Amino acid sequence: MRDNTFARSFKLVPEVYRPFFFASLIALLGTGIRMIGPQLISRGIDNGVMKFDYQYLLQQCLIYFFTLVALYFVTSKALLSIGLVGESYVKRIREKLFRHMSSLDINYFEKNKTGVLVARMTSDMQSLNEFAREGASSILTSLLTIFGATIAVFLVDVQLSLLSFLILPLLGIATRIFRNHADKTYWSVREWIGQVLSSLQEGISGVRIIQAYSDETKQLKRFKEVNNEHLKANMQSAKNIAIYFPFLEITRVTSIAVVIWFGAARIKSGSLTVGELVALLFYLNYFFDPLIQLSFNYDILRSAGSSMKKVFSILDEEPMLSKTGDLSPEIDSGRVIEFKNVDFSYGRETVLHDVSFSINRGEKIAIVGETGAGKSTIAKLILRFYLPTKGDVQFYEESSKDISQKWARKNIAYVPQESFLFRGSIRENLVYSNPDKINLQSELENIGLIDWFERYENGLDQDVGERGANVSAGERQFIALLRAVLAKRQIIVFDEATANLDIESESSILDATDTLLAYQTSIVIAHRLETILNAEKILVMSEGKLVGFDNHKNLLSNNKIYQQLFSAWNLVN
Amino acid sequence: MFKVFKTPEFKKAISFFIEGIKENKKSFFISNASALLWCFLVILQPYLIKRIIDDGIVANNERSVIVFISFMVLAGYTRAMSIGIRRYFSMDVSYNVEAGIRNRIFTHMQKLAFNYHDQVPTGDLMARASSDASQVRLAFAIAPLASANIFLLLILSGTLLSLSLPLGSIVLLSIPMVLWLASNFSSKAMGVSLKVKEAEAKMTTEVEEQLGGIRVVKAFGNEEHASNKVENAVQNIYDSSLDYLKLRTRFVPLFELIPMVITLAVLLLGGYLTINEYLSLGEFIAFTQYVFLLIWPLRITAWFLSEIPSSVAAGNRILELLNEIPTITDDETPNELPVDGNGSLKFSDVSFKYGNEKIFDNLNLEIKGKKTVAIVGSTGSGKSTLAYLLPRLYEIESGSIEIDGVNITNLRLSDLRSNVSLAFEESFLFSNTARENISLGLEDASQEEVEDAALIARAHEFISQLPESYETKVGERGYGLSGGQRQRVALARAILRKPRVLILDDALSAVDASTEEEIRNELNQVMSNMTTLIITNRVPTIELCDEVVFLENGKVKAQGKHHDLMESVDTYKSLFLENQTSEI
Ligand SMILES: Nc1ncnc2c1ncn2[C@@H]1O[C@H](COP(=O)(O)OP(=O)(O)O)[C@@H](O)[C@H]1O
Ligand SMILES: Nc1ncnc2c1ncn2[C@@H]1O[C@H](COP(=O)(O)OP(=O)(O)O)[C@@H](O)[C@H]1O
Ligand SMILES: [Mg+2]
Ligand SMILES: [Mg+2]
Repeated sequence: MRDNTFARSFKLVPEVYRPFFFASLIALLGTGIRMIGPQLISRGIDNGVMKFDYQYLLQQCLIYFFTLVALYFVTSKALLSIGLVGESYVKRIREKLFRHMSSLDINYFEKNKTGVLVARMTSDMQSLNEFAREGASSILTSLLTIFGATIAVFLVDVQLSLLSFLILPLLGIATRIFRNHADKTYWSVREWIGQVLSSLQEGISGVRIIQAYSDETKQLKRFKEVNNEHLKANMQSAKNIAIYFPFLEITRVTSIAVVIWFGAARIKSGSLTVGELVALLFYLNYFFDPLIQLSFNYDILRSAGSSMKKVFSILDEEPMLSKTGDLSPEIDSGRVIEFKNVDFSYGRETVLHDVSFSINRGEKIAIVGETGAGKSTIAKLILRFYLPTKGDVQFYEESSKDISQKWARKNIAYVPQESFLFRGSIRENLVYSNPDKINLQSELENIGLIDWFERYENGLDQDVGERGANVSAGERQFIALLRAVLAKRQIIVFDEATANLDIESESSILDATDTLLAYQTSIVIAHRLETILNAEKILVMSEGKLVGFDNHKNLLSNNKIYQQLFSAWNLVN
Repeated sequence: MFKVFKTPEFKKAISFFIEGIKENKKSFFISNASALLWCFLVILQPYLIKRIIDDGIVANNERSVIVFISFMVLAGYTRAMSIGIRRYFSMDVSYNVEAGIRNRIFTHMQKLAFNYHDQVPTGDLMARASSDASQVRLAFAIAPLASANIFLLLILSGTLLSLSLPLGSIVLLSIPMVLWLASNFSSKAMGVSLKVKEAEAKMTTEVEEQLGGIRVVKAFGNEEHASNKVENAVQNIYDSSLDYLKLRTRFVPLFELIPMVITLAVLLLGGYLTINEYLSLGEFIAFTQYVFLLIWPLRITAWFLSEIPSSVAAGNRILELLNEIPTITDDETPNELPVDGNGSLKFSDVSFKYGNEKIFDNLNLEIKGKKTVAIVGSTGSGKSTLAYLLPRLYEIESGSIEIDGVNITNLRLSDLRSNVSLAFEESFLFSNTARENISLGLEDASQEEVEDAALIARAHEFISQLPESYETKVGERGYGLSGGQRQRVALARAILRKPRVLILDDALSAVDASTEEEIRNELNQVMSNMTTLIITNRVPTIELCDEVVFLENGKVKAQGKHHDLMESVDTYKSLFLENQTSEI
């Protein structure tokens, strides 16, 4: 499983293979040059200083100086190219990850909080970056140094080398144990950082409510709890390291002691020289130093591995809806939408029961019913955000299962109950559906709404703020509505999209819809009598069932539930 | 020469870091002490080996061999322990500092008023609390090791000086060299790494926004557009990171080079001195041995110094947020609301602006206690703004607002806000349970009270049908509920606190007419005990109110009964024009 993550991570971004290879070569070159230095120094001392030959010393120093200059350029280049590999890797992963996230079905976003997903794009990438920056290059050089040192040690004396390496299996076991613990704790570190960010995100986006209700202390307490869990997970990882790292050091000391002990005996018996022993000790350091460096990187690697596992858990999520179906139905037949015995459930109880109706081209339909009756659910099924649990939803007599996601998006516009605007100007928001094609000025003049925007200091260029917070809720709705209308889709669904508007603004936008698209089929969910009376036919929902579908007059005369609603409207009149 | 270290940014960040150390004194001390111990044991090792070989093996003294090997093993094991201890406690400091920063950011951000949050995107604040805080952590993680190494460096330099004055001074030169390099690097790197941090914040903002609006993105089939926006932001990170990388790779190898250059200089000068017999050969060899010992500490120090600029830049970004002064705070000598007050309201000459945009211009309004008043006006006329001003969510520019004769600026914020309860136009639910959402801001609300409020808001019925009833989590922003259900939860929340003044800002817009009627009837009883402001454009609701306040052009245009206003005020009447024509 471990190898799987590692190999997959590598395979995910083939673009970096070549640069990685070259960067490694350069890094190797640097290591090679670095090795020359001590050689020159010891020669300088042995043959220069010891023999009182200053000329020779100068010569060696000059060469040393040149290697230093070379070393500077090579290391600098090596660091740069390995850094580049890391940055490009993280960049590609980010791009892939977000692209994939945005392609997932709506219900994925219902199960996963925004903050957690943001953590995957930020904090997890940081831990990857750390590995890419520090780890990748030194692992290679470390491994090579260890390899070289092992050979050197064996060349000096086989028996002592074997003895000194006897302790290594122990190290292997320790590393294994460490790995298991590290994987578990890093996974929970990643898990909790997601929770921290999502708690933070909620605390920020809900700050207005929190302040209005003086809920600061409780919120902080909740945040602190999550934050503390993250801290605990981090400290657990610190504990793992604090036990594992000393273990390495102990191995090192023990094996040096073993070598000296047996070496001393061998020297006594004359089968080893002091010089050989010194050399052996020297090379053992060359063996252990990179090993310690390696274990350091190993830790970063485990952390990055956990992040990658998180990334894969998202990448492995299959977008259902955009994959199924590739039909694009013809737009001429009469029946635009047809629900055939539709049942639907969000995963809990069934919220639509056996709903059947059909809507013809150009019809203006209103949906009424109590809250929670399933009106928005119908809208979302029309939008193909979900597929029905049972029965069938058809567009132009093709099942929504077979219809391509793209077709649905190009032909259906939807104004959700909660109007969401993007940061930027009103203009940018209005042309959202097709920034290059929409000629906003002339469209607005055409439908006579250009004046509406004169209320702002900067007109259409007024900034709306995050989620549209810097305009009033009604204005926000107006902009969101107009955005959908300007998309000029065949079918348009308004989900209580005029609830916060005054009646004047509402009727002006509904008029605009009519002007803009003559044969547009519109479905309006609303609670205000004025809005509903504009519709040709009214769909009455009650507790997930369709209880009436007719025009106002007929419903008023023969539909109990509708009569009740109407009497509520006319209560005072 | 070392100007960077004297810049205000640098100083601020350092004093911020010192605060972090102070909060974790004990762990910081332990980690530093064990780092020091480690350093000394590292130096001891070659010495012990030398003794084993010279006094033991070469001198053929088995006892010495045993003694010194035991010493070496003991020292080695102690060193191993010190590594573990240092690691653990330096992480303890750094993680605690990081968590502390997060808590502080969260706390502080809650104190900043609406006008701040109108300007600063969520993602930006998140970036400060996540990636910037982690960057600061890094400095703390390395600090103990670095400070021990710097100490070691000083001691070694002293030893070297005592061994040979000229050679020692050459070695000492390395210290200003490293500092000079570091300051040079820092002055360049701070700006660049700030850019990296800003680019990261921009991306966080972009991702947070696109994911938050994913329903809109998908409804328009604009996934491609969203990805492109995020990719642009990612590209910006990449570009600025490359700039930083280029700078770093120019400097960092120089840091590494310093010890080597010093060895070179020692070799040249020392060799010269030895050859000309100013120095004995033994002294020279010993000296070079010590110079080798310098390499490692110098490297660590350089590494530490090269990480500093990023941490300073990140620290400054965090400080920027923490130093933002909350504009709306408690009065120093707060007044109390009169116990027998009935919630009368008085706005005198209130002016208010959002930025440059004037919303209210000397608005005057008086509302008697326990009345139910409809606030009516066209979209954007300032109804919601009026609602925000009462609980002091925005500060007015001039004039005064009084509740029961007490100016709201003289009240404790928590008092004011528990007495003025506002149900927002857009009901925001937390991903908590239904019960926690209703009892927001109240520590001690009983289940019974919660259910009572839910009953009035007609939320009890559907909540009790949820899988875990009141303990069901409602999903992010309450997206697991229908719009009207969300609004009713929010309404219950507003009622539960039994405020003196209740403001319903279009709080029933997603509720169907018959449920609204039921709620209205229930509310009638509650409302008779408090002043209620209802912002709405539904005629039946307006007609039920004692009076109507009609807002136009930043002023109260008219106040009175609905029927009277319909007759006397043309612009008021035209608000309901559609209503008239479509009457059947
Ligand atoms: N995303 C969701 N997950 C689970 N349940 C949901 C979700 N959205 C709505 N519901 C439930 O489905 C039912 C119908 O909701 P909806 O169609 O939104 O009603 P409305 O008629 O008010 O628009 C409600 O009981 C609601 O609680
Ligand atoms: N946070 C804000 N920043 C800047 N302008 C705002 C902000 N909130 C509202 N506005 C503007 O102030 C005016 C009044 O808004 P509001 O009180 O929400 O109106 P409404 O009467 O519809 O509730 C509107 O023109 C709106 O664009
Ligand atoms: Mg709905
Ligand atoms: Mg409003």
